[in-house]
Amino acid sequence: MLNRYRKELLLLAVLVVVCIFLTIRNPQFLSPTNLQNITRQIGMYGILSIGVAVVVVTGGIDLSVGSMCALLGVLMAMGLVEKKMPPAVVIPGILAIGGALGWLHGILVSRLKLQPFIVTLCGLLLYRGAARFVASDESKGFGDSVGFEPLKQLATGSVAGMSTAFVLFLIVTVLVGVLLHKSVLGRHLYAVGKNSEAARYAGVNVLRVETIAYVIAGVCTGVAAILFAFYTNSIAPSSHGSYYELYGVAAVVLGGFSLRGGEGTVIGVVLGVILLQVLQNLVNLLGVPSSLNFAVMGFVILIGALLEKAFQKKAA
Amino acid sequence: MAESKSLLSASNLTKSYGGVRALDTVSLELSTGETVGLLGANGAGKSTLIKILCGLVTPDSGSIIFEGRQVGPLSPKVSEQLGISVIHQERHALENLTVAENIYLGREPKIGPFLDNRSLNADTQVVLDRLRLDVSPSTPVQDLSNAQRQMVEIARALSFNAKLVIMDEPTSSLSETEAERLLTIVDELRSQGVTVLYVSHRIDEILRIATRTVSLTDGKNSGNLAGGEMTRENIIQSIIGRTEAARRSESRVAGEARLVVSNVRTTKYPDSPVSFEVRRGEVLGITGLVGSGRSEVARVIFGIDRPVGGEVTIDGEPLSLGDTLNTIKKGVFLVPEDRRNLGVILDFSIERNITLPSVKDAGGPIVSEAGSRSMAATQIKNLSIKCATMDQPVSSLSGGNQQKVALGKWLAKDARCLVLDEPTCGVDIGARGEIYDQIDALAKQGLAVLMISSDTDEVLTQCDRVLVFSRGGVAGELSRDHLSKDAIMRLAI
Ligand SMILES: Nc1ncnc2c1ncn2[C@@H]1O[C@H](COP(=O)(O)OP(=O)(O)OP(=O)(O)O)[C@@H](O)[C@H]1O
Ligand SMILES: [Mg+2]
Repeated sequence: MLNRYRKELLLLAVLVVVCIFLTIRNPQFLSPTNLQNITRQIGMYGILSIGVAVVVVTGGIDLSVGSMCALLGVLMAMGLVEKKMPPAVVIPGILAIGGALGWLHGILVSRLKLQPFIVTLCGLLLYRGAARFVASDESKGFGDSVGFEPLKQLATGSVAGMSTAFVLFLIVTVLVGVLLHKSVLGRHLYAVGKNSEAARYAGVNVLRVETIAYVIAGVCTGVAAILFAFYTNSIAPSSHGSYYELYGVAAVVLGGFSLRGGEGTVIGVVLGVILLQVLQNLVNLLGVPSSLNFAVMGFVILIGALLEKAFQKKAA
Repeated sequence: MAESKSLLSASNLTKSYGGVRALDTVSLELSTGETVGLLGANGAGKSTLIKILCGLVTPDSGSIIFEGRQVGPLSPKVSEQLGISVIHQERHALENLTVAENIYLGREPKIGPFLDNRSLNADTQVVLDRLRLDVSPSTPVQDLSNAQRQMVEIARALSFNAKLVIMDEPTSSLSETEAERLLTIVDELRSQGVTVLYVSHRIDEILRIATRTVSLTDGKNSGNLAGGEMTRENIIQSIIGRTEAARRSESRVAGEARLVVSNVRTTKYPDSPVSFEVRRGEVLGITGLVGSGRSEVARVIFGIDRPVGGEVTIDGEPLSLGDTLNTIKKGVFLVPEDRRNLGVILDFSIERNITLPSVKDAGGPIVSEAGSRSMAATQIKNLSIKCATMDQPVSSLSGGNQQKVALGKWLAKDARCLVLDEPTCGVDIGARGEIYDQIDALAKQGLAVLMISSDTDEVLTQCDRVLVFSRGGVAGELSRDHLSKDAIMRLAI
């Protein structure tokens, strides 16, 4: 038991240590405002990262999620504000487009045997271009337009003292957790990630399983895109969502997933996401120059990888 | 025999993996020029002992004396320099290198800083000729069959001119003819004064070449047999703790045709159409030299490879060739030859491997933990898979037990036809009997069983009818009454 969740426990310990350190250095960390804020960030980035995690389990990767957030955000804003389409059409539409783009990645990877890195790198470039083109390179958003308050609440509101985004994240976590760890599809996802040839010999529909993973990532990106769009309220197509794919991959790797596939748990990604956001918060609260933001992230992931290696050796 | 000189003396070797004692104060004495058979059931610790001797595994305690000198901590390099060379049970060849590069990996002949390709290939040719292995030194290993790869491993081990050659189930994927070639080489080695430690689950081979045997049971020394005591019965007794007559299956009554293969032409042998049928309740054997196209036909039946032409039907329904999922849905299963890469997922637990093909059968999207565990438990019990828990990864099982997992995952599912490619490769004689019993029971239930095997003994005792393959085609069919080693040999060549 202890051994099975070794990575997760290690991560939890690091997280606790960082939180305690932060609280001592700046008690503001535990203030309600800060907690609201940080859990909102965790919620939004978490939904994004969990989608990436499902793809990484199969031995793939998704680099397109950041650009996709921009494209979907622009489309949503234009649909709602400029075309005055009803939210009941636009919101499902955005999720469907996310899923469809994921499906496209999946088909290219599984049937046409293209490398996931290449496929989604092209996605990263393509969707960024598409977003800028559709929006004529102008920021799109909701400004002060009225009628979207309930939707805005998703990103900025709170239920029972918790930010709504975080609650949504918990729901997605439970769903994906059941999928990965309790369902037949989950077993197949891990089997494909470990050894797709042997999985095929055991009757796993490898092509379908791989495709589904990318569809899930696409839909999760859709949900996150909606939240990010309402959160920022204004979407600059050339910068909105930049580097988000790296947050996603970073959280997944920090959470104990192997990029070779077949490893990692939902608890791991959740802890990975939280740790990343706490580190961001640390940079803000401790007055570290914000230019060092990414450097701190990179440093911690490196330490995590080193620790993991050390523990692995000991266990063997 | 002349007074023999001690070559290696290992004492009190102990090695534990977690809670499992793989070796428990084991000792081993080897003298110069003898050929010692190392015996033991699956998981007895044979491979672990061998890995210690070649420096791949560090023992928890114990000491090793080689040529009268105490040797410190062994590493593969040190062990090689001492003159110990090993053919491992699991192949290690690097796929993208050529035969020659694999054989001389790490000690390539050089001219200055540059690789001397000409003498590399020439040296390799000499070793290959000795094994009468008909491949070019510059062939990439990935283009070779399983057995040819095995021969390359053997060639590598021989190229060292070692004092001690250790062979861990070297013939398990070889057919009679190739195996015989290897045994002849072992004879040669002995006459040159080289010591050989030989592991095999094929009793005949032990009888043929060993000058004495050493046995392990559950990681402990369990007695030695001197040359004079080596009889089939004694050997079996020392492996499984009881004697067991070589069981010949009762003759079965075959019903109507179930699996019908018509004019199948594989991409490897597009000019040899293969046709045969397997009947209800029948075990049809396919044997022949390695590379004779047996596994290719199996892969076509299972839908892995698309054939150049031909048709396969099960109970009259055509299988859509090239579609494994459809084949499995129709109840036709394959246990492939390459168990480590295709037969099991090594990093997955035993339970997950066994239930992988059947988890979805329960219907719902959620796995029934209890159902899945009890399914695995049944197979572990029926096949006597030796493990600490069903949650341990298959990679931590001994070779023979991995094979049982590969088989067990299909036994847990309703089949109409089972295609078994070397089903008892590396399985000990006791467990082999259990697998045969299972096959027999399945045949009695009306299954059609197609058994591809290089093990002549197995073919002779377990099959109702045998097809002998040669160069991609069926060279002949032998009914049970006409089965004999000679008859098979005549057709195979
Ligand atoms: N890396 C490992 N981790 C855990 N257990 C292991 C590991 N390697 C071997 N074992 C255990 O050690 C025992 C001895 O294994 P070993 O491979 O030496 O058996 P063997 O005699 O070679 O069997 P076989 O005839 O099947 O090849 C087995 O119970 C096996 O499960
Ligand atoms: Mg072994």
